Amino acid sequence: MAELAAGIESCVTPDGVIRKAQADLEALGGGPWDGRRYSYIPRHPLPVPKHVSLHDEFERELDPITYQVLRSRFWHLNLEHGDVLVRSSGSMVIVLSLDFATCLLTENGDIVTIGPTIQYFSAFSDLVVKWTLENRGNAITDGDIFMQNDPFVGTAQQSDTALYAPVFWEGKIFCWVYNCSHIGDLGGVDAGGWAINARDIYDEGVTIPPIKIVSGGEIADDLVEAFARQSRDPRMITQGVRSAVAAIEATRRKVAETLQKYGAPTVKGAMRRMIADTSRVLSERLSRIPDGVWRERMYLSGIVGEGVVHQEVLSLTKQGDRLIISNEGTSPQAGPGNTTYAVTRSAVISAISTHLAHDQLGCIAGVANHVMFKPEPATRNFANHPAACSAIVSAFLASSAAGVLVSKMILSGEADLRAHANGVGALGVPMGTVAMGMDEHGDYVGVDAAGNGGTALAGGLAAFPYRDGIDAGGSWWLLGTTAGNVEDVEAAGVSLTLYRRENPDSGGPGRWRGGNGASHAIVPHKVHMMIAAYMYSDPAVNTVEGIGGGGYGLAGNFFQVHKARELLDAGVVPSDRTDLEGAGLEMERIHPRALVAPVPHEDCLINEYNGGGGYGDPLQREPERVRDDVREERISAAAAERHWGVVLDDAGAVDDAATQERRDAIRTSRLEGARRFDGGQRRGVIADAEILIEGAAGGVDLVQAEEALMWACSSCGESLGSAQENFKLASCCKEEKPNAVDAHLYPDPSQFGDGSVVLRRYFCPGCATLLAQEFARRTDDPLCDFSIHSLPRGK
Amino acid sequence: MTQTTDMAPAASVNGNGARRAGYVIGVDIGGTFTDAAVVGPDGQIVTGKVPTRPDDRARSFFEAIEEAADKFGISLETMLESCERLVHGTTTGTNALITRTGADVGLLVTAGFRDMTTFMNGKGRMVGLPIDKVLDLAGTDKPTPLIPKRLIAEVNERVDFEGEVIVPLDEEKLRQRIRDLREAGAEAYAISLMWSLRNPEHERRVLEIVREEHPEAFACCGADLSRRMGEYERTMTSVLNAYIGPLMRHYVEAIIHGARARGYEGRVLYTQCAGGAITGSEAAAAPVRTIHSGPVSGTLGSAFLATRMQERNVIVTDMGGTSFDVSIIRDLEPDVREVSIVERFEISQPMVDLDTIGAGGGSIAWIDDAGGLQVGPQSAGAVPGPACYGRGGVQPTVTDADVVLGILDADNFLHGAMKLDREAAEKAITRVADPLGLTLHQAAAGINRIIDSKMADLLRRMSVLRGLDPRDFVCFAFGGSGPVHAGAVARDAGVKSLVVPVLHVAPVWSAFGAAIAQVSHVYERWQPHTMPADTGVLNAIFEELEASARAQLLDEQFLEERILMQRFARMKYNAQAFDVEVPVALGTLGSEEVAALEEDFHRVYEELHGKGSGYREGGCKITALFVRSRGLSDQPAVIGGRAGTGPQRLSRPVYWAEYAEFVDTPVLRLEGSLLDEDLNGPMLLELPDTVVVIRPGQSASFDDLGSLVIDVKG
Repeated sequence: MAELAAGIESCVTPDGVIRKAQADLEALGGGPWDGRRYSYIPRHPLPVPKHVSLHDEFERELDPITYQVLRSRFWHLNLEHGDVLVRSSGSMVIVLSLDFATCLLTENGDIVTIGPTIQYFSAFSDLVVKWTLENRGNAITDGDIFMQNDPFVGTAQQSDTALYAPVFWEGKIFCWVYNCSHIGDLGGVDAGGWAINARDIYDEGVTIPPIKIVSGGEIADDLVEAFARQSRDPRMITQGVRSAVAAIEATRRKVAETLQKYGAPTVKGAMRRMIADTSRVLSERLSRIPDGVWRERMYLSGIVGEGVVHQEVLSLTKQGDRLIISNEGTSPQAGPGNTTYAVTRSAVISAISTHLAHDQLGCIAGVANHVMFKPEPATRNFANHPAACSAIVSAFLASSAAGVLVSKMILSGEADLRAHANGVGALGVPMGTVAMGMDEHGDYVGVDAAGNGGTALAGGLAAFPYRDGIDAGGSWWLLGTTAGNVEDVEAAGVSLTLYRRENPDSGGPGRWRGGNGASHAIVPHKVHMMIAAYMYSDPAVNTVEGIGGGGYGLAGNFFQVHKARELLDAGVVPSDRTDLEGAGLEMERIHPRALVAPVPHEDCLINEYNGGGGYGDPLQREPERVRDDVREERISAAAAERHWGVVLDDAGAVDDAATQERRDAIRTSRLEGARRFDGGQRRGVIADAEILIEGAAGGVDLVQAEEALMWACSSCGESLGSAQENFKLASCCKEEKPNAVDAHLYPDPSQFGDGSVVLRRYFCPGCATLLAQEFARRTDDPLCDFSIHSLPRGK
Repeated sequence: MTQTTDMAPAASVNGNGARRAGYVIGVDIGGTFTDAAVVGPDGQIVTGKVPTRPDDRARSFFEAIEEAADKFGISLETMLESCERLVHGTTTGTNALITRTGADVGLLVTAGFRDMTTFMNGKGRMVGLPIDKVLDLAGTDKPTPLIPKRLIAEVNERVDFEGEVIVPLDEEKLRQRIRDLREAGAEAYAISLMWSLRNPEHERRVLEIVREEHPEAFACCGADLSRRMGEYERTMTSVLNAYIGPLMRHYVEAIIHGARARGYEGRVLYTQCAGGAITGSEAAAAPVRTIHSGPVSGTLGSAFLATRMQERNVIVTDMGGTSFDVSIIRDLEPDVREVSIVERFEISQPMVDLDTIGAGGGSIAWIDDAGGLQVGPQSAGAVPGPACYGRGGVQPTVTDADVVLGILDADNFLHGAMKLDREAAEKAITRVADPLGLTLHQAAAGINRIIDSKMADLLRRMSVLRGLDPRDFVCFAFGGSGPVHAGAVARDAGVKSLVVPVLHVAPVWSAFGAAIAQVSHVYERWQPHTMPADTGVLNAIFEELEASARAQLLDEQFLEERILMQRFARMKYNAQAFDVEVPVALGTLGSEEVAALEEDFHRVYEELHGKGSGYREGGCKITALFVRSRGLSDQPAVIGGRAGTGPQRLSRPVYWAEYAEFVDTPVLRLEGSLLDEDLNGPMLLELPDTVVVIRPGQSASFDDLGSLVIDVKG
């Protein structure tokens, strides 16, 4: 019934059929991009074997009511898919942290809807299905279920294992249902699933490309056992596979019922229309953003070799409603925790879906084909086989970076789009922390991963251009996760929690404050031995970025406090870090590669997880908001003065005169000793500038002066150069050791990381407004975050 | 505990059979209306409905009963003098929460946990919001806290997971903290310490000291309200309880004194959100148990009727102006959840599991950015209300669509009680019809289809979440808009059949549910026991729980022979997260009974979660033991329908989506009378408070209890 409409530029036809590949494989070179050495990138059209019969007819003239009914049905089918998975799961990370994803895809692997859980798990399901059609097509029959966990086909780490199946109708593949969940340990050099000591993939847990685990309705018990046999906890793996199979079977039945009721062409018509609608909505929104280039750069330290900093770079070029992603400038792949095309692509696409199409029920296909990728292979974020991936640090970093990248772009758009921009939130610093109990026989007796890891997931949500972030609010790519109760954690009989708090002063300062992260402290309790497993990149090399000049949040702190138990024995509960410090106990920072180590019975571990990045210049925040933050103990009075320049009197009220004086002094000090990278002088206010987009780069407006597009300070109108150029170069920059700016918020990077890492703050030369901040190596040029080439349509 | 004020002499107390053949009265105070349902000595039910007076709810309470008394031809006093039982479901507590007009609560927690109420276990952004909002980060936030930081104080003490005291209570510091809280404005106190479920001694001592330092203030302990593991939900339970405590204590006393002054000799009972009723003294001490008891009463009434009808499995739906509530009755008992969400806070309070979405007569239809038609969740509310109400509303609502389609009679709405503005309704619907290129009537029918299918999606998800198949269920529909839409919803969801319960009582169904509620209590002990569990330990725990439950009911004047005990265990597989409730035999348990319990667990788990869903090889355990006790009262005889004039037989053109055109449709206007005939759709039944829609192809008839049973297949 449908045919491709030709000659239109859009990447999706008005009927919702995808038109183009997402990468120009010819131009890329290398390859083949078949998921073996190089990551899998599907070609277009997909070379599906002749035997495969796809049910691809669809109704184009749907009545609008039936369409809405089916759209809601798809969303609910997918939610119910997740419900079944959670109900039958044995894993606390699935149940509490919702560490899984569910998807519904078309016959040829376009994603119709994803569930609201871990975002980047879902947006690579299309690669997995397309790979299976291309490589296993001839073997696909009704009643089959496939399984796979190969990062070079599409997953973040081997433990994130996908089960997925075709739904047949009238003898043809009508659609696919997919789930991917964190299934547990699968072997490898380090227990738990994150192989932090892996040199390459051969040191990691078992990796399998798509195999048929259920054939014509019969589960292959031998394969399940072979798979589970690789694990340190085969019982958990067996249950995980069974649970995923049950969820697929239940969902497949419900899809068939929907087909029975509405007819296949109508159902497929609704799927295709959803894709077309999402694409159209995205196009319209992109049309309200100027064309240009936005960039993001983050550093990773302490994991790959001692003190060595790796950098990961993503740039986004916007041309009309097309977005082109490049990773040029990223460090070569090395050591543990690299990530592949699947994850970086998924991070970018789900960031666009969340930030620009949050009202489209997770219809990824409508978003995906607006994006083209130019991967530079054999790098940290587009790795080649046999790079080690399971330690997952670069996957986390890719998600954080993609979110900020997309946020920068929408910051340059109209106000309703900009409202959704935000910086880095929970798990903005790649990490995993677990405390396990061991009995006298050396057997593991309890794990409080859900509690510890869960607290990490409850990091702060970053600030937005028009409001504060959320304390312990999570992040855009971890949805619906929870830290659980402390009593649930303690019931495992491993540890006693001394405190669990929202860590004051951990959110990034700004016009809008980043959310505070969580912190907690535990001592071993009534257990033979408590083993702590820590894996994180050095938080002193901060990745918890704010936007629009907003401050970086606290990236995290991990301490071991010796003899803390003595306080309890003396009848005192230390209820925050200050109490422990005040008791004069010896306290040391834990090295990022501390690995697996027993914790002495009398010692305590402090975990402080990252806050969210801030937005804008903190001196522009209303003093009353700062006062309320102090009153509700979200920030300290000292931070109020230091970052926000707000002075409170003894009764906690704003001292207006002292605040004015303090803010003036901060502004004056900002420009003292600051330098300009372009070596130039103040350009002054642009004559007759017309403001085109207010706040197009946060505190910087996009203006027109004569024929040129220029940057100008939003506060005073000072010229900051051509909009195609980096406005940071025309700003006054203060480059300092991060710990010199705020030793509490930013620890000294020379301790475990790279001592050349500095914090740069860029101020308007005219009025000293804080315009941008970046962590960078001293030798790196200022990153050009914003470069605007042409105006949005209609301007 | 607050001392009881409602204890009447044992001889006159209901429930022990001392007084028979009186009136049984249920009252439900909602935000807009106060409803009464009175079962007369002969089993006939009459109703009363008056506007709720927000400033004097106690007055509305008696006005609603008086209206019902009028219909019996007697005075309020006469009715109350010969009243056998007076049961009240109220949203007074809920309302104080919604409007944030409760007390300034001082909260005392274990040192190190002062941020618990704002941390919200790291999931505060989304709790209690529709799941499709989850991707809208900029548009969602945590709820505003109930307590400011200055009113939260830490207590230096610590108990561990086995109940052992690790750090003793520092009483001296505690006194100072309480004085500070009082100084800072605390009017009521919530006390919630870590692991008080295992060892409540510290909490009890803190309560004593609070009483010494601030004697007149309301105060409560977490462990007295819940013994469930999970400090956040238990703490919020105590916070909510203290927040509405002073207000509810006052309110409960006002009702009791009012009833006594008007000649009622018995005690006033209050329905509780977990099902069943509690005495006034308990409602005053643990008012958190009355939260949402209004809507829950509707489910209780449904369970009562389901028993009479011998329908074991029922999906209960209540559709009003703004929301659509769904609950499930399985094996004649309402499904109860252990952790409930109240005003976006999670509390550890068993509550009949009501799921709700924003779908009602006031739900607004709108066009989204993709050009698609959407309905709800925003509602026009009571003000301005649907456009057809003529109160200034211009946006199209579901009720406007019903007017345009001719389902609601604009000139004679609610038997002429209200005139509707048809033109305004048409104008409003045109706002969405034009951009979609639909005719007025196509758009109106489309609005109904979308809202109906949303409700059907919820029905399906509610049942699927529990591993149930909607096809095994009967659906009950009540509430002002329920019977209008239920025919289409029930058909879409694929339920067996649809019942509008006791037709003339359906509009005050929650009040009826209150009337038949029985006094019940739950005693619980959350403590893990790996199977096979030690019988000695299990027996000791059950004996202790039952002794407490029995003592309470005896104290509440129930005779020994009117006390009913039931035992339950919550059990789970070691390798899985979800626990399920399994009945336990009464009496002394031996190893055989424990083995039978394990078998029952496997069976129940598979029933709920599907065959093969449990991982047996990993073993299983008990997570908690429960005793549910009931003080039995005689249930009123209920007879269907009541005397009234025969129906008025009319007709009017109604637009049916099934025909895509207007069809002249029979309309029966009736008061409460039963009809002994088969009713074939399309047809409308107009009652004073609602309209029942029998869709084309559906047929209906009255059963002998006066309920309308609709065959929805069509």
